[in-house]
Amino acid sequence: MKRSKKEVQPNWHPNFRIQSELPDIKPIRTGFLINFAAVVICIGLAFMVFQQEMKRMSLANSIKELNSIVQESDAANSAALRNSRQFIQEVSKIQELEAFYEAPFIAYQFLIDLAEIRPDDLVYKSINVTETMRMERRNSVRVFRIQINGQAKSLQVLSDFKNAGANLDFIVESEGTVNETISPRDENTGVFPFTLVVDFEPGN
Amino acid sequence: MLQTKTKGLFVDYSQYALLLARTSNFRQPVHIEEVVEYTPKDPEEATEFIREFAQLKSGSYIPSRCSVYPTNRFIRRFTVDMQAKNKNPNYFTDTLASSFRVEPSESMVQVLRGTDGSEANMEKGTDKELMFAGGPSKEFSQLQDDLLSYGIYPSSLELGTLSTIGGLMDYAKVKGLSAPTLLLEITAENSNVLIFRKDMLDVSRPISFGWDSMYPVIQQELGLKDEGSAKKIFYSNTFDFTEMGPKLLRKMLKELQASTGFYEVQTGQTIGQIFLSLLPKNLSWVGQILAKSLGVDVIEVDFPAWIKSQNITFADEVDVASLDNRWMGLLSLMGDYSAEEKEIEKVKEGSSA
Repeated sequence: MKRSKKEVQPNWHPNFRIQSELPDIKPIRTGFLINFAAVVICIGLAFMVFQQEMKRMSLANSIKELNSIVQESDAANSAALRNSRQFIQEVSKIQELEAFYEAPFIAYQFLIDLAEIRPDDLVYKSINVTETMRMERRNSVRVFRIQINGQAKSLQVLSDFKNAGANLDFIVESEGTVNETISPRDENTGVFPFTLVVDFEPGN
Repeated sequence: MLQTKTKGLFVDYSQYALLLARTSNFRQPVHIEEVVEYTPKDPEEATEFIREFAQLKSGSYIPSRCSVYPTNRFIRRFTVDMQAKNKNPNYFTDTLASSFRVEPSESMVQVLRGTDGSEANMEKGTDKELMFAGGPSKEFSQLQDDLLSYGIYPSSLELGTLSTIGGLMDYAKVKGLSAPTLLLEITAENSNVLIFRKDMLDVSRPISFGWDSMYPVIQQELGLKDEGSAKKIFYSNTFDFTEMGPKLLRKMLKELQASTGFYEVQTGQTIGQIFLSLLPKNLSWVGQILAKSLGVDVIEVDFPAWIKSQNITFADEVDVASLDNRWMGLLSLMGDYSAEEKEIEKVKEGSSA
């Protein structure tokens, strides 16, 4: 390797200086720089530790305070939860009532009507009213279905009952459809089990 | 705190004095603003004096390029025995210890090429003509401490003898001195005989005595009661040693004649001139006597002619005429003796012309 010009000793000028015995004459002494850097690093580390410790203490205090608040609020929270549960229960009742009142027919009137149109030779076994929603051109439409299960002595009776039902005011108004399903005559009793389904959409 | 001013300070620190030069900067081109010779008495006074000379604020170390002369400095030429070197990984330290009686662990040593004074690559190098240069670590340490006590911060601490060899080689080239040159460095305790030709240091031989060996002769000749009195007279300007000189230098001359005679026989070259470094001002008669006895010329350095080639200039305020050979060490410290760089400069000058 070729030595740089700076490293080449000038001819007849070798240097016999004893570097190790010379005083440190740098404007800022190397020792001072090292000490200064060490002190700065130590202060930095101490500051970081202090900062972390302060943060930790602050978080511990916050946790303590929040725990205390949690404990203090526990009873109130339990009461509030009870209230909430109760409220939800009451809400469902109210919603049920609202649904009941929002129905396109008056329930008790409907039952009266059903009682009035029922022929003597026909009995009801169950009456179900369900409300569903269906989508029509991005709009939701409420659909009601009244399903009456019962038994009739003759098909004529059933046919009369169907016609009477189709002529009920709210079915006519809402252009509802009435369909019946008739099962074969029961051999033991001699009656026809039937299901009458009335579909209508309020507001039609 | 280190003074960061860009001015340069060059210091040649010998046992006789501190020679100082304040310059425009450390690297060439160097403009010498002022020179001064100073003999430090105590560190505080010296610090104040040097700081004032260097024109620097108080409370600062002054970065300087320094040359020093440890008492037991050494420059030893040797030819590498390649076969032995390849066999022995400790060849250099072993050679230093066995051939030159220098303890490597207690010394600061550099291995240089004898051909141009450049740093030798000891591991991979194929150079055969090398030299060990250095001195005892303790002495370098003491001299460095002395400089620090004067407020001088050595940005480099060189062996003055080496930079002087480089400077004198360059001077000989500039002045066209083709004959070999004898460089004699006499200090109180010992001396060094160095003979070079062009860029090649051919001979480097220590002499175990120096000026101190002459005091008993003076004492005896002048009938003085002790050597201390002889020493005082020797360094004073009050006594003319011209007559007594040959007697004082007899021992030294014998050594020199042995060295030069052997060299001339070996190489077939005749030594043309002598240069005495570190010679105190009042001992200028020494050069004349030695030159006369050896039949050579004395080099009296023509500083203006030489330093111009080194891209060094003097301020008008500097009395260049008053600079004698003693300043060679200091001015050699400023020189650049890298042959490669000089060649490049020459090419540049040629192309710009």
